[in-house]
Formats: sequence, C-alpha cells, structure tokens
Amino acid sequence: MLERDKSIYKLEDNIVIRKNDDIKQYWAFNTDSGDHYSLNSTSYWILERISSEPGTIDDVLTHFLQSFEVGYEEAKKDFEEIIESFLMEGIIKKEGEKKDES
Amino acid sequence: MEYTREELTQNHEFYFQWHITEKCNLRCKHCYHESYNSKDELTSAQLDLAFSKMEQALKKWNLKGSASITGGEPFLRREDMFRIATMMDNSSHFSYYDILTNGSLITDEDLTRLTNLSSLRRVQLSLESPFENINDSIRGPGSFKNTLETIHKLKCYGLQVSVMMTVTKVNQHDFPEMVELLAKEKVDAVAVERFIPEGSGSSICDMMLSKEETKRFYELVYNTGIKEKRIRVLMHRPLFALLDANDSSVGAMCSVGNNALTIMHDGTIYPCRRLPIAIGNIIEDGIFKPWYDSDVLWSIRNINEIKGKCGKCDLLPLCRGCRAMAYWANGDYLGEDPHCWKEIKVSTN
Repeated sequence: MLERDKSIYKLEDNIVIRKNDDIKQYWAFNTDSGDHYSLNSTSYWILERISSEPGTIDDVLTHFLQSFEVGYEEAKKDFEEIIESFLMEGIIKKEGEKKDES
Repeated sequence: MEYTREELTQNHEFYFQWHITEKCNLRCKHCYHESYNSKDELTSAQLDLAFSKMEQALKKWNLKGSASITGGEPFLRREDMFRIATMMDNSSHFSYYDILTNGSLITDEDLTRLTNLSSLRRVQLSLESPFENINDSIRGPGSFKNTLETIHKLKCYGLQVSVMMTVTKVNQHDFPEMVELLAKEKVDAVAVERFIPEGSGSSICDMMLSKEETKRFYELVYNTGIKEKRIRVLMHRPLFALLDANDSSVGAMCSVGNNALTIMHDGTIYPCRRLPIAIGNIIEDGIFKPWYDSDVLWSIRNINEIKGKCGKCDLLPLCRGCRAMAYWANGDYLGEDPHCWKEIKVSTN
C-alpha cells in the first residue's frame, strides 16, 4: 500500500513537537485542543522528519532506514501503523502529491 | 513505535496573574509598570473571552485554577473586575482568587460587593514599611494612612487581607515592626518580594539589595516568621529554601514554566510579570500555544539548561532561584540568581 502512496505528509498546523533528550522524553502537542501525546524516540523522529521536510512515506522511510539498523519489511509495517494513527489523531495531514520523476 | 495519549499532570493547581488594566492612580517608585496608559487594553468582551480560554486550559489539564486579579489598579475597571470575580465564583475550574489593589478606591459599596464574592480568598494591599515616612516616600503622600484605613474597613467587613512588602534598601530592616503593625490590624498574611528594577523601578536601581543584604533580610523574615502565630508570614519564594531546605513551609520553586502565567492588560502573555518576555497573546493564541510552544518556557523547564551557580546547586530541584531576577541581572533568564548567597562547592576532580 505504502509504495503506491504519493501523498505528501506534513505536520498539522496546530501541532508542535518537543523533546528533552536528557530525560528521554518526547511529545506532540495540539495547540488548539490542548491534547498532549507522549512519544517514543522513533515516533518523535518520524514527526521531526515530517516537520522539517514534508514528503511521501517512502521518502521518510528511506531516511529512516539510512538512520537506523532495521529491516525494510519490519520498518514498513510499523510505519503503516504509526502513520495511520497520526492521521487519525490529526497530528499529521496529507497535502498534495509528489509528482513522478520522469 | 508507539505513543500514548495522556493528560498533563502538573501538581494540582495553575495560577494566573491577570492584569486587567495598566492604569493606576498611584505612581509607586518601584513599580514594574513602565507606562500607565493601558494601550490596547482588552475590552469587556475580550476579558470574557480570555476567561473562557483560561477555563478551557484548566478543564483540559484537570487542574484547579487560582488567580490574582490586578492592574494597574483593578478598581479603575470596577465593573469588569467584579464581573470576572463573579465568573470565577461560578466556575467549577477556579478554586479561589485574590484581588491585588492599592486599596485607595474601595468604596463602602465595594466592600459589600466584595463580601458577596464566594471564591475571593484575600484582598491584597501593598505596604512598604510600618513607618509612614518610608512607605509614603515610595508609594506617595497619604498612602500609608489610606492603606491602614482600608485594611481596617476590609477587616470590619470580615474579609481576609494580606499585605505585600517589596524589599529595598530603605525598608530592609523594618520587617519585625511591620509584622507587629499588621498583627495589630488583624491582617491575615504578609508576603515579601525582592525589588527588581524594571519599568518605573529602573530609575531607582540603587535601591535594590545586595546579596549580603538579601541574606540578612531573608534571615530576618524567616526568624520572625517561624515564631509568628498571629499572622501568616508567606515564605513560598525562591531562596527561602536556603534557610532550611527541610522545612516544607518555606521556599518554593519559581513557578515559571511549571504552573503559572501572567496575562497583561492587552492580552500579552508573560511567563511571569517580572519576566517581561512576550510568549503569546491570550486572545490570538489562547493558552495552549504559548504554553506548549514557547522556547523560553521549555528552556526554563529543563533544569539542565540553568546556568551559573544555580545550575550547579544541589538545591536546584527545590529552588532554581528567581528567573526574572536572573534575567534582569544577566540578560539571560537561564543565568544565576545574583542574590543567592549559597556557597557552591566545585569539585576539583
């Protein structure tokens, strides 16, 4: 499914992410509703990536595989789950599609 | 890869210091306000909106709210002040509030109205000294007598009264006599605050205590306060922990970034009134955006970012110094509190 998804993913406008590396705590906050999400470091990495460089899931996954020693199939499955959750909670959004490079 | 959704659990209370106006009928020399024109003051409707934003935050965080309704002089917006107070009375999210006033505009009718406010904890007045000449040299002629008359009236109406004393070089030795005077007037509580030369007070920088004077003054307050039975001496302030770190009735962590915000007359949000760095506007941004997205608050929350002597202190989890005083002294709110007298042992290993 993901390899066909050309959607560009961005952080929702009302979401801010924060971390405290010293105590290994990571958060996402909804500045409209006040909802507060406690993240693990990997979830935070994904959101930070999407925040700094919106892209397709493949783009994010590619960078993730370059940064962490994890198998493609395992990472892809986890990505599907976490991206769907982030979408459902309104933490990220799809905005436009990446054009084919041809 | 997982995440959990949760609610914030910051102790049990969140405090708002709410300056509903910047206008004032007095011109106290040490005042942190610079201008008294109250430019872009929130309208009544905007005050109501600001209140709803506070309630929204308290509800989301499941915290009980407390507030100081102040100014300038809040009785210059008498009807707005009473309306806000009544809204807090009727709110399930606010536990109590104080009204901080110079007391000079309180009428007999106001006294009756104040007694009808169900969640009003105390009316706080300011008195700088038990000696008329010293008080009036700071707060203006007639202020001493007027304040004592107001205290007397408030007590006659059965209201709880507290007094704030801002310590400078001119009143640093007056605390024991102050307590005697206030106890005689049946005042319920007295608090002290260090003078930071901000706003109008920047013209009297030389009135600020030195580190040694601060130590002596805090010791004087502590030694007076622990014995005092007639009046509560409030010592929940940074640096008091230096006197007895094991005494939970004294000392407190600076509330910046933890459980407090200051709302100014135009809706500007400061971390603290004495740390005047705008982190948002309650009308435009609400509470959540500045609270979650302010670099100032996040850096102060991270105790590892606190610098200088404060950053090396073993009392850091209890005290952290006054971030506003650090900002004034160092231009850096993460810097050390210049009044801290604790000797820090530096390891040579």
